[in-house]
Amino acid sequence: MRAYNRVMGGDDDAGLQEFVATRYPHLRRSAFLMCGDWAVAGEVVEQALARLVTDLTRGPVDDPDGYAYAEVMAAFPRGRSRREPVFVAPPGDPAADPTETILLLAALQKLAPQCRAVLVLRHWDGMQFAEIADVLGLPAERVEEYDAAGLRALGSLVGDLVAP
Amino acid sequence: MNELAERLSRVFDDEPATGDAVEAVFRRAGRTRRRRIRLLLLGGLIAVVLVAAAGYGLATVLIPATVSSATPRPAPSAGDQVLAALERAGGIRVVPRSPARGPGWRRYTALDQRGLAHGMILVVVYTVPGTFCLPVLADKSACALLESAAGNRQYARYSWDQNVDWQVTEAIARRLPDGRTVAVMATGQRGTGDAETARPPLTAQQAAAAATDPVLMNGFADSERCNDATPACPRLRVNVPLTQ
Repeated sequence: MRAYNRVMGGDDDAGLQEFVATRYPHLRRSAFLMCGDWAVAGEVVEQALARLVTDLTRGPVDDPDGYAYAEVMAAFPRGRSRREPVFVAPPGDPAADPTETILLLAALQKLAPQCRAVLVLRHWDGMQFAEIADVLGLPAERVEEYDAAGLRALGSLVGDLVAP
Repeated sequence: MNELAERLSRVFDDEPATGDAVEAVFRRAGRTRRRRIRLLLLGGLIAVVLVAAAGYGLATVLIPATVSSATPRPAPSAGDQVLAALERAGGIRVVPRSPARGPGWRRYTALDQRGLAHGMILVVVYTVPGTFCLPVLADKSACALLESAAGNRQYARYSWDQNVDWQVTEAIARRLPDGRTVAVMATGQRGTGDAETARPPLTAQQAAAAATDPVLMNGFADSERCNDATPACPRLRVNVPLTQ
């Protein structure tokens, strides 16, 4: 799902606007999967993209997409949070069953942050292991281990919702 | 899309609208850029201040060691009673002037209010027992009428203030009981053609005040004297008559 991996410079204002407008929604979804809070996800992505734009005005950036993902993922602490997140049904269609959403988000939050990041980047953003390794600054083998462990843990947490 | 991705996509059913998020990104980037510029300028300012402070510190430490003879480095007054007496009598600052001293004499540079050299002061001591006849400038055969001062001292004073190229004041004082005699001579800058710079740093009255100051005489050891007119002893405008 990554659309931009070319070198981008500060002179291309239209291209920069397009990049931000295109990437913001998707990055915010990835961030939401990481934290389960749309407000936090929006703030994190806004900050990451603002930093990218600032750096782009000073000179070219090799892989703006990778830069943005790395900034977003780095915004979430690598250690486990002491607070247990509680997810509630969002206001919306009363006929829709929010159980699956709540269970999935709760299960994701139970995973170690690195493990969660690997699952999000791999299964939602569709990155290859090598790309994930670049974004997270991890060895590719470790990324594969996290992916396998994450899928197993998620399977045990949400049962038949996820098939490894 | 695999099964997990498909299930993850359902989580976004209630995704809020992005609103003006893109504009917010660029506004925040602008703020960040301005903050970075301010930090850069502040860093530069701090660097300039540090360099200036370091330069000032170095200059303060180094320049006095390399100052020219026009601005001699002031020496502490403590311990030099002759210097202290001159400063008190003239209300001026004086510093030793190289060659600054010998057995029976001292030499100083007077400083003006800006700390620049303004003339020279010579102090010479003798021991003159017996009668004492100081010359009268207008009559070489006469003896000057001596004035009295505290501490059983007598003195005479002289002044040459008509020549713009060399003006001199001098006072010669004698302690009566033992004939210990001191001469204080002050001269302005020579050969400048300017009466102001040629003016001696001490008036004749101030020179007399210094010459009769017991502290000044105490600045010399009893064994010090220029009676023998050794080459090292400087010459005065009015020489002290050592023999009658």
